[in-house]
Order: sequence, then structure tokens, then C-alpha cells
Amino acid sequence: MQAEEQDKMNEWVRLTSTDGYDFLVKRKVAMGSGTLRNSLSAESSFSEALSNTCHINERAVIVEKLCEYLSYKSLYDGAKKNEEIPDFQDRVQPEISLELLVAADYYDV
Amino acid sequence: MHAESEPGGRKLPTLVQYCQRVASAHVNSFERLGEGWPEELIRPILNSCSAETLWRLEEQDPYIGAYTDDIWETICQKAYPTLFQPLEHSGSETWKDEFARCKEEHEMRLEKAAANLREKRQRDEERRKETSIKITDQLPPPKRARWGGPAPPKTLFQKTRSEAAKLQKGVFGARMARQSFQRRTVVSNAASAKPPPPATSSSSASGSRVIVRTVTVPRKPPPANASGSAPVRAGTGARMSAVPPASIPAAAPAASPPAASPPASSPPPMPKSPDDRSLPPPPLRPPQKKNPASALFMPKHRAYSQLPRGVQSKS
Repeated sequence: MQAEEQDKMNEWVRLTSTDGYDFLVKRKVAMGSGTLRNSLSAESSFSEALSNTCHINERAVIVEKLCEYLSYKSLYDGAKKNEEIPDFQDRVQPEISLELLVAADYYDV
Repeated sequence: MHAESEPGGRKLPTLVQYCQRVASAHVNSFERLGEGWPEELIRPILNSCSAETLWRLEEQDPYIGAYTDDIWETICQKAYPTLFQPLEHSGSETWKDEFARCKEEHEMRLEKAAANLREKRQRDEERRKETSIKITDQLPPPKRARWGGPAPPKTLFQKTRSEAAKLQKGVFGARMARQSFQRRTVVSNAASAKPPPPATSSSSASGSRVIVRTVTVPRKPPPANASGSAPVRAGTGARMSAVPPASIPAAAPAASPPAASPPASSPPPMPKSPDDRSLPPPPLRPPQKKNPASALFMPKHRAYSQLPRGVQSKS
């Protein structure tokens, strides 16, 4: 059971943006988002769960930043205290900060 | 496995928090927020914006005015601590209005102070202008009346003397051309700005103010028989007088010793002429050792008061 879970986690999921871009991330990474987790859960009957594709209602720039944060989070979340973690704040451009705020709030990131 | 952090692990700030931080740092550049912001999301951002920004954002999206009352209170307190009064309103007046009122009052005071300052400065300027130099086309009144006045009538002798002196020194320009000769005869008197007086006065003996400066006449020393003519005599005397009494021995021309002897005395130059003859003519003299410093103090031109300007002299 666990092994299956692991395999599942290694699967790729596709996140699509409104302007036609697709982003592929590991399922494990996508699970960092509460909303996506719900969408992709196997138990749900959402179509996303079946096709491993999630449509995100944002511009590609925002989706890309979301994926970036999700990767960052899955990499460093739970890291030991003495580990050096790069700061993510510099990677948020002020121009997109408000839009990203809306998206981050919606996707519970 | 899921997003739960492992026990003992660090919790990363959420993307929401990151976004709020970045937005707060740049909020003063935002033009408008847009519709539909939930309060909890936007509050931290509005907390860190300036009064102008908050005013502008509320203009664009008035709905956020609902959440900003206490933000205005904070802003008001910080900006106008002296004008701050606890609001005793019934609740109808908001902190935003209070802020507007304080701002107006502040501006009025500033304007008043500026006007005062301007007025004061203007008054000072006017006062200064009165005492400053003005451009005018009227001549200032002459400093003093001409002190020449009607001179006492000159005797014939005096007239002759002064005329001779004028002839002697010649035209101003011609005199200038002979500067080189002047050097030869050297005068190393530091005080040569003053007219070489005693020697001159002894030769001219007229007491007139015309000073005869030295001009080395490049001719043989005039024989004693020419002493009868006044100009020649004046010339000789002038040559003598070229050497002021205080000349440095090294620089003194050979003719100086006889001339240096009592310059103040007024014996006629005649006895000196024979001495002249015995000496080699000046132009053939070996170049004298000159103190190079003497050239420094030798003025090329006459002192202003000594220039011939046709001033009637007091005799």
C-alpha cells in the first residue's frame, strides 16, 4: 500500500494556465497546496483526479510562481533547524505580488 | 508524506505571507487594489502604507474604507501629534475626516509662517537696496576744490628755470625710449620713488617742483665752457643728480664720488665739470657692477604725483 502511494507520488501532474501553458510537477509537490490536494485526491470524483490534470485559473506567470513555491516548500519543509534555507521573498516580484496573493490564498499555499 | 511537516521540522512561511511582505514593501507604488479583497488579506498591506497612498487607494476602491478607520487613527497620531485630540465625536466623524482636518490646519500654519518669512525677507531686501551701490549717470561732487588756485606770479628767473626743465625732459615718449641709458647710470636707491631731491634741487636751485630725472647723454662730458648755457648745465647737473646720495658704492658710477660729496650743498655744478673731463666718458665706462636687486626697486615710470600734468606748482 505504501509502495503504491510512493509510486503515485512520483507521478507527474499537469497544471494548466489560462494562457495555454502547462506545468508538470510531481504529485508530491502539488500536494503542498491544500486545494490541489483535494482536487487530485484519488478518492474524489473530480475529473482532475482521473486525468492527473489540474486547471488553474491564473496566468502562466502566476502558475509558474506557484509551482516554484510548491517545489521550494516540498524541498525545505521540515528541514532541520540548522539547515540553511534560501529566502523565497526575493523571488516574488512586486509586480505580481498582489495577483499571487490572491492565488496563494485561493490555493491555500 | 502529505504537506504535514515532520515533527521538529521548521515551518516555512506561506506564500500568502511572502506575498503580503513584498506587497507591504511596495504598497506606495500601487495605483489601485481592485475589487473584492478580503480584509484579513489586505490589512497587513494597508498598515504599512503612507497617508497619501491610503487616500489614493480609497479613492479608487472606496469599499476598503470600511476597514481603514483605525489605520487612519494611527496615521493621524503619527503625523500630527500636537493637533491630536481624542475623538469625542458621536461616531459620525471618522478618523479619516480628522486627518483631513489636521492636514488642513497644518497647511494653513505653514502658509502663514511662509508669508511672514517672505514679508520679512522683502523688508530686509529693501533696506539693503537703499544702502547698496546704485548706478547713476551723475558725477559725484569733486572731492576738493582745486588747490592750485591763482599762483603767485612767477619771476622771470623762475619762468626760465621751469621752461628749461621742461625742455630738458622732453616729450614723455622720447624719454621712455631712453630707459636703457638710464639703467647704465644706475641708481640703486630703494627710495627712488621719491624724487631724487637734494642733488636735483642743488642743480636746479629753483625750488620748483619740476624734477629732472637722469638721462645719460651719450656725448662727451660737456666742457666747462658750455656751462654757461642753462640746458647743458642742467644736463650735467642732471647727470650728477642721477646718482642719489645713498647709492651703493659698488654700483656707483665713477662720476658719483664727486657728485656724492655734499649733495645738500648748493655749490654750482661748475666745479664738477672738470672732474668729469678727467674721467672716461660715461658710455665708455666698463659696465658697472649692478646690484641686480636694484632693478627691482627702480620704478620705470614716475610716481603719479610727479607726472607732468600741467599743474600749476606752488612756488
